[in-house]
Amino acid sequence: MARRSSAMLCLGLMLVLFLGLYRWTHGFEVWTFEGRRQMQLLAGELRAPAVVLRGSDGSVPRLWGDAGAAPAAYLVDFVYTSCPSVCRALGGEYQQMQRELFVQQDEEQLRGVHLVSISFDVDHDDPARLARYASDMHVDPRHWTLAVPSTHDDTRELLASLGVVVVPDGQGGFVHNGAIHLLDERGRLRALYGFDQWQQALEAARRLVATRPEALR
Amino acid sequence: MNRRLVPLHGAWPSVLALLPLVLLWPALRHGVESRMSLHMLGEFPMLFVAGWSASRLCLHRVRARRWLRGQRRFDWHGWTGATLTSGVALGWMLPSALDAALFLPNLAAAKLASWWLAGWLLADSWRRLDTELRLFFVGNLVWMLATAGLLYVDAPARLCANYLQDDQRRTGIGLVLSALALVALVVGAGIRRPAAGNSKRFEDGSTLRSHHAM
Repeated sequence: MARRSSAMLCLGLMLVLFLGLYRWTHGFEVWTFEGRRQMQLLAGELRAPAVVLRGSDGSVPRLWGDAGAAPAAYLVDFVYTSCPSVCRALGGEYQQMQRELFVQQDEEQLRGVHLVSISFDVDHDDPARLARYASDMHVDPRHWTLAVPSTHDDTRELLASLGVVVVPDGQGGFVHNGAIHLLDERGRLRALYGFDQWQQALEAARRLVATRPEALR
Repeated sequence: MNRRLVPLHGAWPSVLALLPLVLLWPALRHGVESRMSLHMLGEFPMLFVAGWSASRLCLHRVRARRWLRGQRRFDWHGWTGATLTSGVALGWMLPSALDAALFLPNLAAAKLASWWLAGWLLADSWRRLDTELRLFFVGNLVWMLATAGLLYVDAPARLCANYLQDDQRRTGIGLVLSALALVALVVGAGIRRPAAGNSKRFEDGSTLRSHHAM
């Protein structure tokens, strides 16, 4: 009796573990948080809320989720201005994208794709610091917005909504996952790109603008 | 055949059993879980040992006899304890599970409960496992710890969004060392208590082999 009930229980436990793992790992294929983020993206589950941001010029930028915002596609990255290495490199990618947008400076493109760098370092990156960073990066506000959320809660909400995790690197800086996020006009995450894929990111953003219904343009 | 649980004496078992209560202090818990090495090599064993100690402290009491009888009805020869512990160890080796336990309160609760329960059950199951199954169980754990450890050491990038790569590598080394320690522990125990047939009886009253139900 005890043998049978124990055997059944063990089989049940193994079955639960197997099915649980199968579901959790999407058929034993996805083992990391980043992999799960990709799956959530494909399922259209990641969407950035329209949190209140402060721009580098002190204004409140109108971005996704705002009916008055013109762009149809946003290429969003997360930065902190005291970042010495990766953020600067990413800033370089954004500078190149800005140059590309500048070259094709017709009305359509100007309205279509917009670059956004959001600082998650609310304590340090006030608009004045962002303005200095913008000046260093030669940011053209027509193409590229630098902004910081108003509160820590907004920052947390924004990062969590896109599955971005920021961890202190133990040397006064931060490390975070994710690089270039392509958002549509409603803030839905459409695709993710690495630092070295900025050209593909820009191409995808342009495609997203091109597929927008005429009525919305 | 005596397979009773041996009572534990002294303050240490109580301290170990109550130690996870420190996790109720948010700052401390955050501190522990902000490092992968502390999370996997500190918190998990702490919860397991707490369950184990609590089991040893509670189940030898006369009033718990009925409970123990009921528990053993579903844990014939320690099968369930070994299966549960293997499953819990496997599940919490996954990088995505570690990350998710930091975001999802339900999963965090499941993590605490599963490790504690594995410890509670295995405290009684361990001594009742047949030698072959005991070796299979330990071998399986060793293989799992070593494989996960080597993967964490070798991974060229961060596998957990919440942890740094250096921390990941340290954790990997710690897992491999844990696997080696487990081998040393079992081999050491085997040397101290050489098998002497089916009725070999341990000093603590448990036996290596038992053909009786439960």
